Amino acid sequence: MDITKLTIKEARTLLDTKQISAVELTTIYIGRIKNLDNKIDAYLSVSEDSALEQAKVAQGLIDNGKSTMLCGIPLSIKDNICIEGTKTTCASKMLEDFVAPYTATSVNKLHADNAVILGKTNLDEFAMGGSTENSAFKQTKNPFDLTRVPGGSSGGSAASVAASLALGSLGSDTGGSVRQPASFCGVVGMKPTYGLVSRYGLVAFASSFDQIGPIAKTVEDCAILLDSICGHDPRDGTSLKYKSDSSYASSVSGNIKGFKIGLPREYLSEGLNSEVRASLYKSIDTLEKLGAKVEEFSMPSLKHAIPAYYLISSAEASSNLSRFDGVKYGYRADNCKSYQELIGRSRGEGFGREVKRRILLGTYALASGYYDAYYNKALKLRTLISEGFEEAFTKYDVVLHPTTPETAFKLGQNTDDPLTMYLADIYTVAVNIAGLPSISLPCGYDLNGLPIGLSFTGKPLGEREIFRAAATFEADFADKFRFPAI
Amino acid sequence: MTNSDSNDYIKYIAGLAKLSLNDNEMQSLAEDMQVIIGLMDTIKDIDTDGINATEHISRVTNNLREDKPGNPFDTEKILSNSKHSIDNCFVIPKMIE
Repeated sequence: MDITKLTIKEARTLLDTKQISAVELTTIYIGRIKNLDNKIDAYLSVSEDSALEQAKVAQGLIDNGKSTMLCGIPLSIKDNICIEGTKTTCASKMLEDFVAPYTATSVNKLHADNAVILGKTNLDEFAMGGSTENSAFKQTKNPFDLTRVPGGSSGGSAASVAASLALGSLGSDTGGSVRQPASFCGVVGMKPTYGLVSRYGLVAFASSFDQIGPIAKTVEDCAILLDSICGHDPRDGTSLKYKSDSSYASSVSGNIKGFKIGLPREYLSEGLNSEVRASLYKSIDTLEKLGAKVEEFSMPSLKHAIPAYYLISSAEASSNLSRFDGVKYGYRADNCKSYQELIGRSRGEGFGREVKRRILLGTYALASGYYDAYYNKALKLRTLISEGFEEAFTKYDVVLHPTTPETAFKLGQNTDDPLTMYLADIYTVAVNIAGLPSISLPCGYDLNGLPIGLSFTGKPLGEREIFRAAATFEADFADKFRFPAI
Repeated sequence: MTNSDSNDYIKYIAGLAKLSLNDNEMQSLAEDMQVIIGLMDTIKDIDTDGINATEHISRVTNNLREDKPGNPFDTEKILSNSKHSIDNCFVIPKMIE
């Protein structure tokens, strides 16, 4: 067994045929974390004892023939998703000592399927960023090149999967935070339709965008994880009462003969790196060879997706993060003489620079005199973008696009350049603006050997179509797929 | 907006956001905001007359649970994350003289 190539599906077979026990499998992953995570820094905390305990329980179920798809499968969880009794820091000094008093619904569902939770992974502070460099605690490295970023904000989750420090992971995606790090780390990341997965227990960044999503080595593994975590939750007012007719894992079989795929012309502008562009066009050739019809279409509103996203999400963040006042939980400044000083200094000292930028931008966009020009205008652009996608899906089964304009960049390269960081989100944010499902998977490698990501975006609740398109492409790409050498 | 106007306005916004910033941080964040707001200004001239605002893309409304009592969180557990509490209450600096 080569652990670096092992998938959830393959591990399931090994466990069910008794070629390995759940405890042995978990022990292997814990050993890898101990030996290798000092290079990658994917984890903020590791729960060795509880993981081994969960593995023992899982093995009992397997022995009794009561195994489920995730029974005994070792996973990691982004550290902005609550697990009762464990630290949930959001990679922020503000929540450095916060111990979650309850467990997120998505994690409870993994518990119900007897998955093994290895630990919590690093992220950009409060999920704000695209490189995981905004973490207050450590810098996660890209397993393909330790001098480069893993992407973000779910960089720890993506790196943990790419480096085989977990078989799968849960991240959160507000503007691309599952798909972009998956693309940079050469793994598969999926953002479900808004409302398909409960947000209960996910620390809120921008509530009308946030969605928990799976990261894994294959499309099928992502579908298996989504099957576990999806479903209505009465504790999330935006949770959909929807159940797919059959499992998402079953949608990866089949083919894409006759599939109509749209490629937005606005995503082919000059900002697209030439190697990423070449890989995109090669992928289009593959899809056409597999029987799909790919054609360009125009959606002019996409040009405004970046400012619309940053205005609305920052406005929501400025409101959501107002709960951090140094009183109920979180960092509390010392020796404050007044309530106002306590709030101001706790927030000023507890939040990092990017979080402060977003709070300032959001407060600015909502301020009297600016509300109509910025926030309300952005909400109208949200309508135009949503309508643009609606129209596209009258013609196409799925929409195809690059995940990122560039491959993983060097650590520190863009740290002092927020504008460059924001503009790099160009291909991912529109999906969140419209609440659509989208999946990123590897489609090539640049001359430095860095992974390039390809995205399929679907109509609302069109998960099955994007899984099918992605899995069909993945099967054709299998002999070119690379694993990082660490 | 001039640099000096920008600094004053960011100071005002930081006050609204309850963020205490030292002078150096205020200055450098004001510079960042000048650039970021420049990007946001690109939407100002787009004609959106007659377009409805979409505040939320949620496809559900009034998604309410049945109104029956449940188990509340344990008080001790909730207070355990506060840096300062006494007698089941959060403690803050004195507000009234």
